[in-house]
Amino acid sequence: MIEANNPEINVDELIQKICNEVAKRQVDSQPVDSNSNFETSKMRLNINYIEALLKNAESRSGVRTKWPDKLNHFPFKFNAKLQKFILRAINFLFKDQREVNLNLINSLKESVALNRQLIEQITTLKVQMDERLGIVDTQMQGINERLGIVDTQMQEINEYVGIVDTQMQGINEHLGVVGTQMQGINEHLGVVDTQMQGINQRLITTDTRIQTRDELYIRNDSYLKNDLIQQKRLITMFLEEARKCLPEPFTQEHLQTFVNENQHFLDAFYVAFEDKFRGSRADIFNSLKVYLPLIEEAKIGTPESPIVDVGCGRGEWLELLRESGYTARGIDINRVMLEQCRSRGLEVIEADVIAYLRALPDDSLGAVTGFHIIEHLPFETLVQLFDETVRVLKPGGLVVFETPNPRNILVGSGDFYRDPTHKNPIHPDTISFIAESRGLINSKSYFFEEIDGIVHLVNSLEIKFDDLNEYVKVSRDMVLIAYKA
Amino acid sequence: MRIGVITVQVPFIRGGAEILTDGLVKAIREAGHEVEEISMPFRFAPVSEVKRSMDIWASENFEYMNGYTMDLVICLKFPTFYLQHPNKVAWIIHQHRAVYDLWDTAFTEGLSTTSDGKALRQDIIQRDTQALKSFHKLFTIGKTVSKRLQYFNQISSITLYHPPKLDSHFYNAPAEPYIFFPSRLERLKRQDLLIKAMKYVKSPVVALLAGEGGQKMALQNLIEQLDINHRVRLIGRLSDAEMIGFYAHCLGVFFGSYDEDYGYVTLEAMLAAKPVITCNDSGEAVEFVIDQETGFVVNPEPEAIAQAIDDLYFHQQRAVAMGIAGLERYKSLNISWNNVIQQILW
Repeated sequence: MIEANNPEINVDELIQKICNEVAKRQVDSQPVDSNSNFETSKMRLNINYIEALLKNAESRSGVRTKWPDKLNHFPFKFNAKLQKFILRAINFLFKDQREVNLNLINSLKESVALNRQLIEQITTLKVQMDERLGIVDTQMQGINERLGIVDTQMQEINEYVGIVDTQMQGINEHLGVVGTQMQGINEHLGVVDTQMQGINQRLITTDTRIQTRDELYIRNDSYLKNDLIQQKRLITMFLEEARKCLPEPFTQEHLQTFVNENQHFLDAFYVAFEDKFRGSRADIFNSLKVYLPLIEEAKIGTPESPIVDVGCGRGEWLELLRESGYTARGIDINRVMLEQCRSRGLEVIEADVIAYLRALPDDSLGAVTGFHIIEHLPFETLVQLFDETVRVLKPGGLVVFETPNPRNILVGSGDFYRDPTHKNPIHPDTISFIAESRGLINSKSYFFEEIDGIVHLVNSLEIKFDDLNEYVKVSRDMVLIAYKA
Repeated sequence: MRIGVITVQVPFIRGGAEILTDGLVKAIREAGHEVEEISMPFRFAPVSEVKRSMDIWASENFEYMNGYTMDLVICLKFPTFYLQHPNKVAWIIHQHRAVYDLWDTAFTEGLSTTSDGKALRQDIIQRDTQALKSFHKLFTIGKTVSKRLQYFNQISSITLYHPPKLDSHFYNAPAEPYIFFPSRLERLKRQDLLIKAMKYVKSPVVALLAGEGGQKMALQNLIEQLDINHRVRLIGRLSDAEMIGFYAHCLGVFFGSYDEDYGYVTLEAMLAAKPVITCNDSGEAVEFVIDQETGFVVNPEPEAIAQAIDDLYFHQQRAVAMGIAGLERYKSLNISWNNVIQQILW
């Protein structure tokens, strides 16, 4: 817009500006006169031709006012008045025709005008359509371009996917290799495992060996200690007595005492022997539990009816009884054994079994027990033992004598003689007979049988030794159980 | 039909006549006819050459062409009227103005002072009149030409307007502060009037004159003489698009040519819906421009022109309205090639 207040206008700028506008417009504009007008212009020209014809017709349809030039010679040259008359006559005659012609011409003119209008409209429509199509074209182009771009991108994506595929393949191969290596490792581990197992086995074996050796050393240790103590005691006693006697020599009494010590020389040896061959204290302790129901049933073990264990040895039975709440004492001649019992707090007496029982009053004990003692006694002493036992037991009292079972062929033929102080094996029938004949009742010999981990007493008479296996399978120990009436 | 469009040319000089001829040939072709532009060179000086050209054309019988015959010939310029053909139509652009309306004026190149000139004048008038009478139909391109024909030759003719080139391309845009005057730079067009007027213009409006021609140096000197180089520019030849652009953005168009036969500039300004400042002796332009309605018709004096320019600048709404009125007037005149073809061919 023009600014009214601006006095000076830069001509060059103005010219440049107009030129820029022109250039810009050239880019934007489409020529208005496009080919589409060509067809319509043809139509228009045709209409013009029709119009021209109409005009021609119109001019000819008018009233004739002049005698035609062509007829201006002989024989048609009439005078003016006649000419006029003839003309008027002709006009009159053709009046109707002229009217018809006029109407026709007018209607055709209208029609032509209508056609012109139609042409205009068609032109307009065409222009609009062209515009629209142009727009659509542009958009289609745009879409095509975008599709082109999408295509390109799809290609790129495909390439990427291809690359990824290749990498995946590589990874798979790697995994395959890793898998193989894992397998190898697993095999190694398997081998290592087996070796570990082997090592474990060897460790266990070694452990067992060490344990066994340990036990051996302990026993040896124990035996040596005991023996040394005994020796020390003897020597001390000897020296003590000697000192007391001084300046007098030893009396016969003294000497007799010294000699009497002889019988204790083997005490320590025997303890060591027991330790080696009898079994562990814990095992014996557990296996003795089989007798507890008998004690319970007989209602003994009270302070009024105590239990005496002859040859109590390491004191397992005494300990068991004490733990079960029964009153019991033990006797033994092995000083080392007795020391051990005393160190366990058990009530034990050093005495000869026969001498001790003889010293007791009648009907004073609830039970007399002896485990692996009767096979050490001479037959006469055994009978004496039974006699005294019958006397000192209270009515209903119990006798339990456990001893090795010679019916077991291994025991009877050899193992019995492992212990050099064993006299001879005692047959189960024999011992029960002796018991009965000396005055005990319900005298039965029992073997041991383990059923489902629990040890039961089974009557010796029930075993039919009709198979060689029986001789091996039967328990290595047996027990005599008898009652006083 | 086979139609011949007959004209003369001065080679390498193109003006309105050439544009008209091109337009006519194209329109005839589009109407579905075979058409041929037939032309011979013409020399307007010396007098002997003019006479010689007249004789040549008089000796031409276009009925016998050694091949195809033409159904119709359309003669556009002197001395093509002299040829012979049973079916002749004239659409006169102008006669030989030097012996007619320009006789005894500053534009006649001294013709009116010589005896040769006088003789030529007599000859032309007589032969023109005779030749033109043999035409079936006589058209002219404008009322001015028709008036001259009537006045000098006592022959009546029909005025037939035609549209300027690229008529459908003209558009209108908001006005910038300049007056536009595109024309061939020659004395007849009177560019000097506008240049002189710019000295008196009070508003900041500038003048842009487009076109080339023999007067270019003289006009440039005039500008420098008046010391108005910052207000007036000769912007040379423009392309069609540029010309249309300059029409579109101007404040108004000045067209003060002397006794113009037709004046495309006026019509182009009207098509661009811009007001036209013209002079009351500008010929056909006065037929188109309605004073105070579609522009201004003023005396051919610099001060009057300057006043008109200022009027446009200080009343711009009115200027816009005048321009629109101009466009409406153009439409009402029903100027189209269809119209021309229809009239001439039938």
